[in-house]
Amino acid sequence: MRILIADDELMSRRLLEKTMQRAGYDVTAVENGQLAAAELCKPEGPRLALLDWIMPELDGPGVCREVRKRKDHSYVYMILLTSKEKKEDVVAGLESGADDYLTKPFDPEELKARLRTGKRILDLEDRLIEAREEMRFQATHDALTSLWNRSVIMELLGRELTRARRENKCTAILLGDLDHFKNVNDTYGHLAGDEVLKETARRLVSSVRSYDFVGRFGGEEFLVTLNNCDPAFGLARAEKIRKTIAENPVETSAGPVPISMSFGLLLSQEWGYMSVVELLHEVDTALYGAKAAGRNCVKVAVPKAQPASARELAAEPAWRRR
Amino acid sequence: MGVPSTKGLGALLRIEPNHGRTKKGKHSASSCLPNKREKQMAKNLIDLGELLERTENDRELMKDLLTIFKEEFPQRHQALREAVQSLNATNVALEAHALKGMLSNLAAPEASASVAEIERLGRNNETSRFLESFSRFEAIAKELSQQVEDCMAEVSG
Repeated sequence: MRILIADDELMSRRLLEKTMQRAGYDVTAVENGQLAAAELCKPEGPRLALLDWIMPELDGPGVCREVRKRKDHSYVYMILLTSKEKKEDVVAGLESGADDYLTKPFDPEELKARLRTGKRILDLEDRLIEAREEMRFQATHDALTSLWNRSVIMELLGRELTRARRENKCTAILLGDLDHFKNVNDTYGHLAGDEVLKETARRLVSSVRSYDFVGRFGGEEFLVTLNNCDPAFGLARAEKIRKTIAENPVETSAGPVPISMSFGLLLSQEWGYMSVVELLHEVDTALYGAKAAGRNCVKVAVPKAQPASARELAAEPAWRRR
Repeated sequence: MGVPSTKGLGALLRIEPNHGRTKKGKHSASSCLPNKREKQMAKNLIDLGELLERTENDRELMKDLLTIFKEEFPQRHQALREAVQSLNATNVALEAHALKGMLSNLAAPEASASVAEIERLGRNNETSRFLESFSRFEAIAKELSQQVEDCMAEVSG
């Protein structure tokens, strides 16, 4: 583990450096408070620090205050080294954001023990962050496929449509449904069915760009947004994805399962100002068209011819129409 | 007194970690008491037991610390002298504090206490007592420098 030592006194610095190296730490040693703060405020800076109280440029408590101002980085455990033993000094040191203090000259064993305490606290923080991230992931992702879940993919679609309108760009909305998925479950069992869903998710993700979104919309339905998509190539891209899905059977624990997917496609630029729900309804209708046309194909949602007055209405924001 | 003289360093450095130590980590009287001749020669200004403990019996580190001390001490000493002569209380406190740190690390308690007193005088702006305290410290510093040389010779040998 990395540790920062900040002490303007060379003998102290050398002694601390050697003691810490012997205890297995990766040591960075600096001679003033400014350098210490700069080092600790780096995104990948040390997370343990031993700071002399009195230093040129910035003293130990000053370094603690600087480090604590930053909210967006991992916690740094800081120990102040001081010859000050008065109660008010100790309080001032801890108030500045230090986690602990040690009087000089230090005892190597006591110092190591206190650093072990610091490491335990940092480990605990890491575990808490890990748990929080896990919860965040669970709240936003589908448990089986690890794709965005329904509520998140709809939110992302909403944001993307807003951005596309603002920048006068096109978003292609692709709603796909695995063909005859009930038969897969009935014939091969639910375990194989899950394996098919997972592999479908993997194939979808692998066939889009890193900035496109893929989510599980419901049972065997998937929603893909192709962001900033040239309308001229929207259908071609959808066809490519369809072919990727159907290209090979899925290898499951119950044997290979051939799959295909039907798609509804909608190019946002052609639809003016419509809500996410309205657009999804249109793309869902197109998907039904694909199913009716024999499955394993893409059908494009086409706006119905509208009278001029209706077109003007459609071009208005929804809130104005209320 | 369980504190060894600098002449006893050779014996101390041969002691295995935690062997011949009391509970507090000091070397026991039986292993490294200074002999009568050594007692008469000089007062021990460096607590070698303490220094060894602090360096975790690392001979190379001890040598490093002594070398740094030899290089830095004269400059710091001079800086303190100048601050005392000019009766600059702020600088006296600052320089005395720096020296106190060095002397603590060297496990030189008497010298450290003497300079701590100067630091206190500086902080309290008791300029009239600067010279008197500084002369006491100078006497200790002179003897200490000699003992550091002896230590260095032992460690290097």
